[in-house]
Amino acid sequence: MKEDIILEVQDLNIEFHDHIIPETVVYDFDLELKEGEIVGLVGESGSGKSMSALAIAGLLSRKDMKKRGHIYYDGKDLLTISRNELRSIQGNDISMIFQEPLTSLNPVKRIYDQVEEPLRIHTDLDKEQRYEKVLKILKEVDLRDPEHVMKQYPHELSGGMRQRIMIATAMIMEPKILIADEPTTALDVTIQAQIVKLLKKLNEQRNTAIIFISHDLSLVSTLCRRVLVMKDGYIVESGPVKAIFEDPKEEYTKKLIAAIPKIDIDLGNGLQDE
Amino acid sequence: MKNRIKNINFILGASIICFMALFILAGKILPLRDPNAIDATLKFAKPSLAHPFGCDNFGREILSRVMQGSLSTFLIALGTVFIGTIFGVIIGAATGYFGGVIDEILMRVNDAIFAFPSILLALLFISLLGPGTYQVVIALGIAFVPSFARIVRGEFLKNRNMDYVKCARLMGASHLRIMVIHILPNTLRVLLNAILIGFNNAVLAEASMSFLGIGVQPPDPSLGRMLSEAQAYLFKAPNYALFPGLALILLVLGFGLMSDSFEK
Repeated sequence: MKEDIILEVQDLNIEFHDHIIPETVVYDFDLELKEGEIVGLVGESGSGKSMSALAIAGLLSRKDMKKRGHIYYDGKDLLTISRNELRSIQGNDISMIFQEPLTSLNPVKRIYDQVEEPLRIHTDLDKEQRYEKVLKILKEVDLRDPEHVMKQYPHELSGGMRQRIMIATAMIMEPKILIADEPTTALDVTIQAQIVKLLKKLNEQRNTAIIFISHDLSLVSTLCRRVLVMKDGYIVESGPVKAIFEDPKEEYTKKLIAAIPKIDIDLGNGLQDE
Repeated sequence: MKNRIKNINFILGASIICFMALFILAGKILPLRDPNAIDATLKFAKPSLAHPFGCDNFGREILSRVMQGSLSTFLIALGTVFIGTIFGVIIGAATGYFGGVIDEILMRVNDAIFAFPSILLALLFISLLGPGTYQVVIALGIAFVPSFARIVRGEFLKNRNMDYVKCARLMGASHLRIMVIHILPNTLRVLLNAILIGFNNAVLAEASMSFLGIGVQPPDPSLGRMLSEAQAYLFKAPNYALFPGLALILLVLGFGLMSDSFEK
């Protein structure tokens, strides 16, 4: 059982030190991620879910923030290994996609160059091999006409396409872990469903573990098997999605579930006749 | 519509610069008189077919002197902007991207240099290095670094916290790679504008330094030096001041129009 755990976070505390009074934003965060598992991380804004994710991705500044605890990946503690070692893991084994796909793409670079970037950093493939890989991944994220999209700039694409590009960039190195920080928040509902479907497909095909961060519980319930609920920096509840939905222990979780919008519009008699 | 006007500005500016480039090139190719050759019989010769721009107080050909002078002004401006841009980008990128102590130290030094008018600063360097063409390039170049550094720093500061930089870091890109490959291309629009304006300022600064007699040394011609020499004969030979002045105006106007077209 222990073998297929690929990421283990123990007692992670994150403290901001850029003001005079230190401020703790995450307390005692624990997480065990199994290979190929999708874990949901839910909570309101400011509950510390993004911070925990950024810490796992190794993106938090080492200067302003004090982190206690351990993040074990592949036997190494990501909080203490050297910058170079961390860099070789970032993008290669752990990837991340963000909420806003427009600002996540470099506005002055063509799509091809951006998707290709991880290959340039982590591999010695030649030009043709890189092109093949980019084309393959763009097809895999269900982009229509990838040869054309490659030559375009981010502002020429729609939000959904941009998010697909982001996913392609994150997935091109076939990482073990993908952290998705509210990847669908900036998109409209139909596109949301497509992106979620795409993430699920990639998860099944490549056995990539996904940490899915969202404040949308209904989305989490369709995608994840296990969920962690965060509030004010603490994990208040965790367990299988089904158990938490059917029998929430915490008051806060109940409130979150109650906040899922339900469509019960009275359509009136005129429409129900048919 | 507005875009069209900007484009016209660019085309106009570029044409003027092309014209000046051809003019300078013609001075190298056409078999004109040596710009430094003195001929007493031609003293203050009026513009004619043989001497299109006339001759100066030593009977030197003004046409070939303006051509030669434009070239040296152009090259000095180029060198100045080159030094300013290279060091400005390096300092601006480092301070803007890393912030912290490096930022504080370098930007305070920058402020100190910035506090002096660039001509005064250049005068200071000239008095240390001695007058001459290369010294002018170095002096003006150093005086131009702070303004470039400030512009580039602002752009890097703006870009370093953008999500795409975060993504690049996440891909495992090193700091140098992020700075050069990811952020620098995003600063180009602003940088290009700054380069063109800097070019303008450099042309004027070189002319003023030569006008004061600390730039290009006689007998070599320079637009500023010619203007200062022509002062004494303004009424006797107005063409002496007119043509170098015209060349200077065209250079500044051309770059000015081009930089205008880059503004939002």
